[in-house]
Amino acid sequence: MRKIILRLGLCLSVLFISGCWDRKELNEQALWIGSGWDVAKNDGVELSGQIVIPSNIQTQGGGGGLMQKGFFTISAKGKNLSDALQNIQTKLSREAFSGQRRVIIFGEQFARRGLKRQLDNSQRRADVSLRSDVFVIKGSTAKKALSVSNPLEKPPIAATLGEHKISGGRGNTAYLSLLMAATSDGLRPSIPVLEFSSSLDGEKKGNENSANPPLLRLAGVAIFDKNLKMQGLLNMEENRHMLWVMGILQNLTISFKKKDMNASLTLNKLSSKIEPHISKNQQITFTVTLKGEGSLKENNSGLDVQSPNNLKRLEKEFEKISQKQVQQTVTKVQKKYGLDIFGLGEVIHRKKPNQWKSLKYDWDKRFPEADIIVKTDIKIKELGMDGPSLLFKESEIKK
Amino acid sequence: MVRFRKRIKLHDLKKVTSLPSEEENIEPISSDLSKNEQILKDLFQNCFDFVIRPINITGKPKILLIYLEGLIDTKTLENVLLKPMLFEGLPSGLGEIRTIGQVIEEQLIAVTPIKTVSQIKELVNGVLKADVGILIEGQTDALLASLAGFEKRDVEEPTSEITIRGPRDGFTESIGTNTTLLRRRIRSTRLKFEPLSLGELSQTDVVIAYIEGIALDSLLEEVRKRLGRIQIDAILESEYIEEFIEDVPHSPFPQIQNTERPDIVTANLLEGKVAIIVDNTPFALLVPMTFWDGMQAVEDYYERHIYTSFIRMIRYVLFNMALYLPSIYVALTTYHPKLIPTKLLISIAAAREGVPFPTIVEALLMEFVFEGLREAGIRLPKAVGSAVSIVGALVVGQAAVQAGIVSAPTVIVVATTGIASFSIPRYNLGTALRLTRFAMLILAGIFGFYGITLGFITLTIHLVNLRSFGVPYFTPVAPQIPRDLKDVLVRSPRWALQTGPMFTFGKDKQRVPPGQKPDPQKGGRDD
Repeated sequence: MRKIILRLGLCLSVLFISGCWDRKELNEQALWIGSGWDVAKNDGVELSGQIVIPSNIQTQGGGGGLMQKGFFTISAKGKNLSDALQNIQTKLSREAFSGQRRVIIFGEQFARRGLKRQLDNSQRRADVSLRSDVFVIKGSTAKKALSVSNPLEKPPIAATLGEHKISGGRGNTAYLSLLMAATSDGLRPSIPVLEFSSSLDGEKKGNENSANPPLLRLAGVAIFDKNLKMQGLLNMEENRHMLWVMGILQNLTISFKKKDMNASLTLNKLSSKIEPHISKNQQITFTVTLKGEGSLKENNSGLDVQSPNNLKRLEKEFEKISQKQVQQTVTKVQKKYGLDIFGLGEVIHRKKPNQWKSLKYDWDKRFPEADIIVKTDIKIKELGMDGPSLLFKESEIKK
Repeated sequence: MVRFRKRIKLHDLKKVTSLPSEEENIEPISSDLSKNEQILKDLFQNCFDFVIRPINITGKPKILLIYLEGLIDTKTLENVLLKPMLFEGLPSGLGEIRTIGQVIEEQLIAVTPIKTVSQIKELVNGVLKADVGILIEGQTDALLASLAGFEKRDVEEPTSEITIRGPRDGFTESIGTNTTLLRRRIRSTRLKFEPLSLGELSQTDVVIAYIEGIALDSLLEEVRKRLGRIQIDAILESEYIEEFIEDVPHSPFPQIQNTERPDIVTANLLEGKVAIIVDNTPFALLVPMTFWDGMQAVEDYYERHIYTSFIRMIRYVLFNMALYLPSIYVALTTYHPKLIPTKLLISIAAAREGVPFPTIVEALLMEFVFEGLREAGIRLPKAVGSAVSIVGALVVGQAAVQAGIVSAPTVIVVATTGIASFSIPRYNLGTALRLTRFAMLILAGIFGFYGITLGFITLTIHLVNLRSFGVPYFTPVAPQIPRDLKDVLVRSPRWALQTGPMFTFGKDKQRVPPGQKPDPQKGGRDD
């Protein structure tokens, strides 16, 4: 009997002597959904957070009355992120819980100052998720971006995740790919860019509850150099081209307009193949073959696409226009910024590892000198429900 | 020294509590009828139901009928024995050649089995087992006529195991009825019923049922051995026996299956198992039992096999839900909120807002209330039972959430778990599950997923180590017997179930000859 009691006692004592009392109730924690990092005086950091107000999100019936905000934004300055967080905690009654942080936004100034000495906090802590989306807010501070509410999403910062995903970008692996790019020799980081906008384009934004609420819009991509300093911006179209070359674009709609017709094609199966070639005199040539398959969305012409010849012609048109656009973007990146955001260096690293050894140290110099030849190969797999547009008469139709 | 004393005390105690032995009445039946009568009267002193009925026919020896009121069929007794003797008299002329005992024996033998005994003890035992004792003046033998006719329940549909399709008869409290139900299903001399009497006072009839040639001798020997070891004053239910013969007495998991249904017993006998049928209870025991027996309902074999396979999959999922769902909920929300999808987490956080208790307390509270409701629902008379469910649904379900004492997700989790645990076909496996669930819940509350993992490992080790009459509890999954898997995870059609489980059925027998899969070539439609 005494033995049994002793054994039981030993087992039970585990409950009290172990260090496992890290139980935290949900309502003792502040759910920190989005982070914003801005510059502060003396090389400091201003950390802002978008925090969910759970009691305002209750979805139970009844309610009525004014829609309440499901979030609030909190911020504080500090020498670095941990310091700032400690300062935030002085005005937060619950412990900040960043395990569900889905979005990080850098103020543009912060991004231009450089990220290299700021990011460690987010990798070192075990409770912070690497599965985050990351953005730069164009011409503003992250604090302001986190304060914008969204008519659809509660908490509002989730809206940026949706925008990023639907537009075919990297989605919630963006933070991870930033870290990967930052540690790689042959790939320079690029981060999607947000900007302030309003629901109705071109009109001044109204207040949150009006029909024209302020919104955050995806506006392209920010280019970073080796030291994680932001160097410039590409617009949304160029951003898509960049992703296509990298082979991670999910979908793309190409449109072209000539004097007698316009047409649109949505590609939903995109791929990219990069073939590096290094000549004897060390001239580097890349052949980028972009492939796309998709469905025809618009064909405002008398062209009967049901005949194979016309379809071929249309495909050629799309190939031509997309080739031209992508080539432009590539050249712009090469000449204006000289930073290999496409990861072409990594391709050499993979395919010609021996030559890469000597190339990698001055890749930022070699990249702008490389020849990049873009080729496109586009196939229309679905025609939709018509041959020529319905609105064209028999006589106008080109068979 | 102290220890020695203790031992002596214990020994004394044993002596005091042991039952008075009944050795004093091993004496032969005397030829003096009045002496016998006195002995019996002494033995049955203060037994209100004891009847001694003397029959005096002039010129013939005196006859004594002894029986226990209510245990025997009085009508048959009167019609067969009394009426001919009293009204017609004994056949004349024959009296000299044959004794009156032989005459009665011949007369009775037409209706009922009869036995001749020469010891008072045997006579008394017979009377206690609902026989009529017949003592005749001048004879040293007595007759025991089996005229049992006590009140018993009809064969009804078993309430604890209900099917939509399948036979509706269930065992009753009478062992005779129960063996009949089995015999009607297997009309073969190979179905054996080995009788046994257990319990010093109760002398309960126990029958070991098996099919010769299918049940393995080693198993039978083991059953006989374990049953033979039992020393107890009385056996009121088969659980009394179960607790004596199971392999691991302190496991929450049942190692012996019990059932009210003769078709389940028959099916198991055909698989080489052994049934122990106990008088005075409708629950028969089946050994050995595996975990998978506990997960199978009888209807699995009466419904189409595809549907049954689907239901089995669902049952396994529900089993795990019943075991782990509350603990996973507690662990996720209090230790690992990172792992919950953001939107779900916000919903849960919103529901938990304002709830004063920690999640683990909340979950334990709700589980506790749920168990209480369940217990109350069973114990209460049927008329009041429905009140419990109303109180449960309204007070606990809705009011507690509205009052902000518990959060809605916890109620959902506990209710789902409850439903899941009710879907386990064997009630006693379900109870094991409920106990384990509380342990898991506490582990999750203290250690989070780490605790659940520890619990899972411990539970798995325990389960694979369990044995029921030498058969590993998790066969045929661990140890793996591929041949038997087709009746575990899924249920193969009858024509594919060519053998029984290897551990009980043996290796080289078959139930269904191969090649019986129906196909058009074999017919099934007229050409």
